[in-house]
Amino acid sequence: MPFKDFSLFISDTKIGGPFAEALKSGKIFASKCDRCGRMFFPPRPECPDCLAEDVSYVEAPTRGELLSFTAVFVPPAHYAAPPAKMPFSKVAQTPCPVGVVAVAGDLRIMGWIPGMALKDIKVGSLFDVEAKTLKNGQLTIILSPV
Amino acid sequence: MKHKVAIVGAAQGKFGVREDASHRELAFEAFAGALKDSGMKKSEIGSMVTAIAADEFSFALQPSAQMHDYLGLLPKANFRVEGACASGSMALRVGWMTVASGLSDIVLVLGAEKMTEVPTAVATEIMGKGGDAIWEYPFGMSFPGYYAMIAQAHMAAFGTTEEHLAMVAVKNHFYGSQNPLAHMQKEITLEKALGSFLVAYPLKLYDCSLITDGAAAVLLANEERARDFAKPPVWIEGIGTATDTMRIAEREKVHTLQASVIAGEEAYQMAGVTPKDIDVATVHDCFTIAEICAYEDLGFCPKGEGGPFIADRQTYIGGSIPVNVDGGLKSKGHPVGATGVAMAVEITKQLRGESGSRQVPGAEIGLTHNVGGSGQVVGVTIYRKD
Repeated sequence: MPFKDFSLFISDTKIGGPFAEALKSGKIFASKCDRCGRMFFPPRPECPDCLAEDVSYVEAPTRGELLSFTAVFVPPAHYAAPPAKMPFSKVAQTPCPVGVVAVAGDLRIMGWIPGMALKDIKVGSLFDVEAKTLKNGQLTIILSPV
Repeated sequence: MKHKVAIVGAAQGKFGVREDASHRELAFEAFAGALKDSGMKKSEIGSMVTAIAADEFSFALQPSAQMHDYLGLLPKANFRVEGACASGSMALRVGWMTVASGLSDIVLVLGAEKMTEVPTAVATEIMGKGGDAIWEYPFGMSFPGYYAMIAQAHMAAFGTTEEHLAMVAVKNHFYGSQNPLAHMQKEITLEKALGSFLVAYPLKLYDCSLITDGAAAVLLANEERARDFAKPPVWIEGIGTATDTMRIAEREKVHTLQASVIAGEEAYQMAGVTPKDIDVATVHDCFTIAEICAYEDLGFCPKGEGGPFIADRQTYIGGSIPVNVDGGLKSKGHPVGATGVAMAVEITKQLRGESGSRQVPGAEIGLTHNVGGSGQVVGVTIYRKD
């Protein structure tokens, strides 16, 4: 799988192919240093602590507390709605909330929170993290309340 | 260090939507202002350090060379320093190093940005990529989005409210309305701030700083030259810099800018002062929540009490520590590369007693706090009146 299907801009990284493949098959990969055992999300092909290049890809834990969230109402150009064609009109976009879940100690995973109203989302509540393939083929991560 | 370092000339150009001027012309305004302020001859400048945050705004590979040539400083040394929104403070740090080490007796530090060359949505995209462009931008994150997450975490942990955030905006607009160089010189009410549209939940329009064009410059000199100029020197007594994770999600506490805490401690220690000794401060209020975090992370109030601290008007003139009485980034504007240098200009003027209706009476020790990105790099500088 091309990593661009997830990252939007970057063609590839050393871990991009396997990461995107895993997302496509419904898994979220973290990396684990074979020498010191430290885990990383996003995954990386080397360990910055012991400089080892022997890492394994492992499935990241999928449940944890929501650390914080937002919904971006004024999006960057990439996500902005096209201008209204009707004169004197505006196109309103209702953005999907985005949050960060702490799945295991210091492993933090960002994802969309589809289908939840902002007022119902609470920092500290439990969420599950899931890989998701969108209809247009784009790969992403979503968070669902437990 | 071989030398002590002082600011001997300081000027900020008009901040705003400057369709009338190019990047290099904005730089010239600030440069000429600082030179006149000091009474120095241009030939006395030994070298220059330039702060520009993003090539995407300047449409040039080496915008600092364009400016330097335009100022007429050839063949003196010049290069650019980049630290996102803290570029200005990082350039000040490099300028300070250049003088302290004895490499130059006098250094020009200039920051400039012309952000309105691109449409707002493009500026939002450029700034959004100031986060992790590979791992966070795919979730539609904008710059306000990162600070919105900081705000949400702060509210959940400490009970900070949207009203507290709006109070910061009201204060900064109150002082910005008295600053003729500010981008938006108008007061706002709490109701207006609370009623403005959402940018990134829970941050609204009036929680956000402005997309602004502008430039600022300071002239630094060592102790042998510092008293040769028109105005009394303002000494740089402490300078601290620290860094934090690229991804905001990886911070141990999302509501704390740990780089602010560490850079602050470093600067206080070097200057031999404590937070209580600071008479006037400019802090990085790119968003209202950022000013509340700064109160706490710099030790002006205990962690978690930033909301009540603004509610008690402790950061107005007459309170325990006046903060951003130039209007802050919120109302004065935030031309990214210029911001850190403009903060140094404001504190220099305050310590000289030149701030008119916004003067903090008897100010002797000042502090600037400048955050790059969402806390990836922070510069804290402490200044003392001669």
